[in-house]
Amino acid sequence: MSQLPLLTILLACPVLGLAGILATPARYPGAIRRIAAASGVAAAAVVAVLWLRFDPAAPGYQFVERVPWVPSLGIEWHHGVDGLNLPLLALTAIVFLTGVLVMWELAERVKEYFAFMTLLVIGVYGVFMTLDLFFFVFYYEVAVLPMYLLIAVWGSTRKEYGAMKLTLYLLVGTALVVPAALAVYWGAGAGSFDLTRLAAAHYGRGFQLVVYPFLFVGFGILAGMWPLHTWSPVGHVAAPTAVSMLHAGVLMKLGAYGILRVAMPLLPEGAHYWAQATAVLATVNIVYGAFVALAQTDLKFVIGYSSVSHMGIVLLGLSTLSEAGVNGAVFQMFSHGVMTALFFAAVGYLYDRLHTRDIGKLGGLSRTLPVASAFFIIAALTGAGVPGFSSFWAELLVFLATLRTFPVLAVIVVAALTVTLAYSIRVIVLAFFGEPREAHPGVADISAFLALPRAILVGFLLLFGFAPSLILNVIAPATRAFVRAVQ
Amino acid sequence: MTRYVALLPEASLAATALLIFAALMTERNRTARARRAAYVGGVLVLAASVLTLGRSEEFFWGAYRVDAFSQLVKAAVAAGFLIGAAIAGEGRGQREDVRGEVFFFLLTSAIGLVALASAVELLALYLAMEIASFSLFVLVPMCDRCEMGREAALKFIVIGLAASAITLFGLSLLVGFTGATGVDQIAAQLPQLAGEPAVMLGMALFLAGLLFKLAVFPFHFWAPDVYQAASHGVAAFVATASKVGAIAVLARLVALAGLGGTRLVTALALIAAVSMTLGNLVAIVQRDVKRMLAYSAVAQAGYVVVGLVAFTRAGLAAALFYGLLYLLMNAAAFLVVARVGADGSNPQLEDLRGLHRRSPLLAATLLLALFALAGVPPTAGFAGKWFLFSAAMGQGWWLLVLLAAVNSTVSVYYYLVAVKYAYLLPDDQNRGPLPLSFGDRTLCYALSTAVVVLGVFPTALYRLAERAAQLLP
Repeated sequence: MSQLPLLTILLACPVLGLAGILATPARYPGAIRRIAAASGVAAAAVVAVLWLRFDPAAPGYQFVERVPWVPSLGIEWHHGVDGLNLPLLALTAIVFLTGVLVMWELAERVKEYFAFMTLLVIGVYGVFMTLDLFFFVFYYEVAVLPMYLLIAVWGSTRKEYGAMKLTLYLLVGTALVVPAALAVYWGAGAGSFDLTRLAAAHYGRGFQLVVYPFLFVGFGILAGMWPLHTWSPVGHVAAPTAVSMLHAGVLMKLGAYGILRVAMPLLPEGAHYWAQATAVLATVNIVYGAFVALAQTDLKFVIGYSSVSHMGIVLLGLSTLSEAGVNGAVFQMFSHGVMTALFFAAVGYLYDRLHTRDIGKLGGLSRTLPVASAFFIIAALTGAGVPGFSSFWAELLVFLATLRTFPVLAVIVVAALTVTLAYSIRVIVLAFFGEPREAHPGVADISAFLALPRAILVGFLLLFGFAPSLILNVIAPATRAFVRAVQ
Repeated sequence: MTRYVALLPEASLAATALLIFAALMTERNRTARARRAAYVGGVLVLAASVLTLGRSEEFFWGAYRVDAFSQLVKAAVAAGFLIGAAIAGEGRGQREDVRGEVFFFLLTSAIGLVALASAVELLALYLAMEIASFSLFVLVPMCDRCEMGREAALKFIVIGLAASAITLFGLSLLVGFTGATGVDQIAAQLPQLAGEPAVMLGMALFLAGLLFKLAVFPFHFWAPDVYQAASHGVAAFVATASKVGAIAVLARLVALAGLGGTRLVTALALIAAVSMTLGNLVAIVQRDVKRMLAYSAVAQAGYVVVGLVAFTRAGLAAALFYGLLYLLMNAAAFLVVARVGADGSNPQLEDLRGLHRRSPLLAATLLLALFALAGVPPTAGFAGKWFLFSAAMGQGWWLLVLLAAVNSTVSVYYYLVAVKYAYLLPDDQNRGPLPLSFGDRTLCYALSTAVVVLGVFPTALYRLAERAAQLLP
């Protein structure tokens, strides 16, 4: 194993990027963009190194770094990578880099925008790599707060309302997580916030049954769990393109990852006790999200509700507490992240040029803007679970696992899949085929430079669609250990 | 002789007092001279406190103790004094004829607070408290918004004197039952006397006097008026240095053994719960930024009490740590308030409009200060609250911690509203850019950096707080 603290270096990329952005005067927007992009590229390169050096067969965490931080309280600078968080680190790198490129045309308050966006990404990387509960919550909140300003300042449609609603919902989540985290710390009695030690400690059954819902719901809010999902479509619609990408693509995964990394391993008895209830909630997510998406006329609302529905698949996979289910859930986190990023990137371009996202006003776009339309259509097909794209495998794994654990729910979910197909096709047909309903003279198709980030996203969807083993080989050994520990 | 080195902070305070006094005697430029003397003195006291951090001495027959705890608090008081003086600046918002005197009375109040940190004898403690309070009683009506100032000052004095009377009565009960005035001797006897209702009453009344200084419910009524009526510098001093002093004595008192498990703890917990909830809910409807900060201070004091009800060393350390952080973040917030209301007026939320264009630095400082007050990482407020809540959770106060966490979320709402005005809403009156002096810019950078750096690297300061907490009786 290498001696270089690769994870700290990875975290340093956006930190240095942020410092560079803050140090650059606001009158040089070009330099600021380049600094943001450079930090994104550097981070992606570090993640690539991690991925290549990662040994799926090795047990436990790799690239571990441990430095005591506040020794008397048992807080440590403790990072590590296993098959569960490596794909998510990769996802973050992909979405952040493409997000910066997508926002290249931003003209308003560029410095502040990229500063907040980089700060947000620092939080996301931190959550995905830390193995210390204090820092977990620390980074978790770092990622949540810049969101408010990003949406409120640079957003559209009811942006202030959407931003405030999103922030308060997510902070209600942390208000549940923080006491639960402290309770776990004292319940373990080890005087340490080290997640591996907390997972090894024994907690009483009563304790687990009470505390688990706090963690599950607290993290679940960020994962878009029904009925506390309402912030999500509103927030995504209001947010500017790259923020929607990051939010739906990466931030919602933080919630699911919190359940996977903190709630379940620490309180396995609680997880088993509540599994049925959480599975039912997840099913409601899937069905409800799909039906509501069917009724939307704003493209972004369609995606927002489809995210609610797709995140339900992640929660359902986790709730099965089985190898296939968790494999599927982690795969789906990655796949949905890339797909939603593509969705929002595609809509972002259309909205920038056409100034509308109303399905009723669009139509025939595939004729006028073939390339820009193609990106959206690919994302929609991925969302519908068409084979050849990565989501197909992820969803298949979750459905198989559900069939074994919760057969009734599985039937409902598979039935809901037709609704997913229906809203995808509805949007594609209404917005992109048929006769153009309104003329949009002078709107050019997407330039090669702006197509690049979107093409990268498509590339990953296809790559893991045709070679799912590339990612499953990384995830599966870690999942096996996870499921064994949780049993 | 060398043991008197430990009194260096007090000596520098006395020297500064004389220096300011001399400056005020001069004819021309007396305000500027007094201000300069105050800066020099403040820096001296701060340096002296830090230099004597390792000392451990007792003076005046054990009534006055110098240890790491007292010196840490003194350093904080000195920092608060400096910030108060810097914010008072040229004295806009003060009555014309007393602009220089403000520095003098700020200093005398600081003397009281410094003595408070070292006093380990009930009478010395009481005297120190009164010195600190009486100076503030003089300072509040010195602002040029006379009507409001007089009303607030009267409220402050009347409630303050009532609190003093209550404290004295509590002291008399304690002294009567224990036959001692030293904090240590009383602490030694308390376990046997814990069942004695009159002793508990004495403790409760004594506590009430301190809670008044900390502006905790139900003793908070003076705070919003005083914050609003006092000039920016004085309000900043009340909100920072004075708060730290109150936290320090409260920590000392709480450390008195034998309190844990009694009804008094339950009462404290209730006070904390109501303080947080009430402070945060009332802060939501405020339009005046200083009033909002006052109610937020009521809530913040509640958080500190959450740490104190743990009655453990960790709880004391966390409370002390949070007190120090609170000083920094509140100072940053007040600095922005003072510069936005540069003519001495109280800025309303509306006046924050377009701040990010008028002065990006002030807007960023406000953002960090408010996020820190809300307890959002990477600012120091997060670590501070985490330590406080963790200490309380360790003693099984889970309901209180849950309430505190929910309260933090509520507080984010009104802090975000202020951020919204500063960052989002355009300036409808088209006010020009806000020029900042070099000193102000430096202070902005220093406070912002401190708030973030202490949030990511809390270890060193927390260790200091832990060490100080260990020295309490």
